[in-house]
Amino acid sequence: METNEVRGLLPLLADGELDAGQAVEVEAVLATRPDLQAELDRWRALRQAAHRGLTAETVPAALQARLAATVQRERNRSRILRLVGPLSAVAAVVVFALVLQQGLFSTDRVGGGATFAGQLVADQFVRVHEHCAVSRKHDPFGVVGQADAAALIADASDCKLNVPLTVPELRGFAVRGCCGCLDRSKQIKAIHVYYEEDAPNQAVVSLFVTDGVVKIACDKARSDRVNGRSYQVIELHGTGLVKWDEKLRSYTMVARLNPQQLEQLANQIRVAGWLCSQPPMAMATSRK
Amino acid sequence: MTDATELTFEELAVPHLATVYRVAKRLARRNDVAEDLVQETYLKAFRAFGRFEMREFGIRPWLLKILHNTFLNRYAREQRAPKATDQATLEQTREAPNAAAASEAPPELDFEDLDEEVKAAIDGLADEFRSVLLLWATMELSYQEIADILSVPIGTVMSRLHRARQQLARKLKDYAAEHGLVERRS
Repeated sequence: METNEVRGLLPLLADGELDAGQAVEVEAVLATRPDLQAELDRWRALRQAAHRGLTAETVPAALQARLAATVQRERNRSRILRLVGPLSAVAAVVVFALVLQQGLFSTDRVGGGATFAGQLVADQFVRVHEHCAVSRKHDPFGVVGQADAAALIADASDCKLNVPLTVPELRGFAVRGCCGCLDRSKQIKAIHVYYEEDAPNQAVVSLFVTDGVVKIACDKARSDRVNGRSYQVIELHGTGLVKWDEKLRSYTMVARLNPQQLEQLANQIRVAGWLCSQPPMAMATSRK
Repeated sequence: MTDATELTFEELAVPHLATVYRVAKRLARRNDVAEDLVQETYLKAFRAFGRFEMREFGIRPWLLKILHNTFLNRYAREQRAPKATDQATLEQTREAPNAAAASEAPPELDFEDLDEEVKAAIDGLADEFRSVLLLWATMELSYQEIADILSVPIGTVMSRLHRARQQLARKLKDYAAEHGLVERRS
């Protein structure tokens, strides 16, 4: 092994980084070369000197105290976060539930409102139809003759049901009014839209939408299924009534028509197409 | 492998405060900056303690790695060796043993009374050399351990250490010559 090669390996030998074979070779040379052995000793001495010089430092007491305080503060912070984290989640759930209950989150109201609103009797629907739609032309929201009738009804339904309601189109009929009459106790939120036929006989059709599903109590009720939709069908004093439940609401159509005619009209209505959470203007546009 | 959760952070990390502080002080060269570095290192370590797994060498290399990264991020980003230097370093790495053959050996000195001079000489090294030399001298780590802490190849450690030692030896030799220590001993 050349002297220069040995000399180059001395720092590695001093650091214990030579493999066993190389170390044996170098040490064999060192045994015959006191000058190289002295050089190896100096490399070791240099490392020891550096070690001694660097380890003489002592940690300032102030730093130790500062560090202890920092760690303690961080530990407290972690504890608070661990405590507050689940509470925050619980609070979020509570707020969300309140929002749902208050009907502030209209999107969820469409698909996830109260499932059962209450029970009504068939007579209530018929009376409101006769009184508000046929006789009085009750229109407290002033939608008749308004170019933005759909928007007004949307506002009214938003107020009554907490969801804007797009007025469904019925072929051969025109909207003639809208009111919130149905349940005098006001426990059941409902919107009442009525149409008048563009024909000599001028049939008047009422559509009630209730916030949540309602049951209609009537001895004469029967069930019918048309195009996949289940109807509750009632005929009362010459007035037909069909009700179906969809999207967690009840839709009831009332007119002095026989139930089959009403079912045909009701089948025109696609809930998903006209009841939504879009702004009134967008819904008005959808009316074409 | 021991799970760090068996011991508290204080039990594991605080005993190494002196080592971390010493390295920080030589890295930063200023007491106040070194103290900030140590505090930041321990804060980061505390926050990451849940993910720490005790390895063969314990928590100390982990703390020093955090310290080193913190130092680089806070104070030495702009001084980190540019690509050209790194490439040169890599090239030196391959020929490190041969280069060492042509290098100077440490002076024949009694280092016993030269602690301050040694520290001053180390402070005068460039960051990349100082980092390696500090870990080598302070903790007597192997080259591989130093490479792990600094996240560099072992060849880079060898190259940087070689140059750092050369510079350290030269500075001490110059000091000895200036102060007549060589003549006095010879």
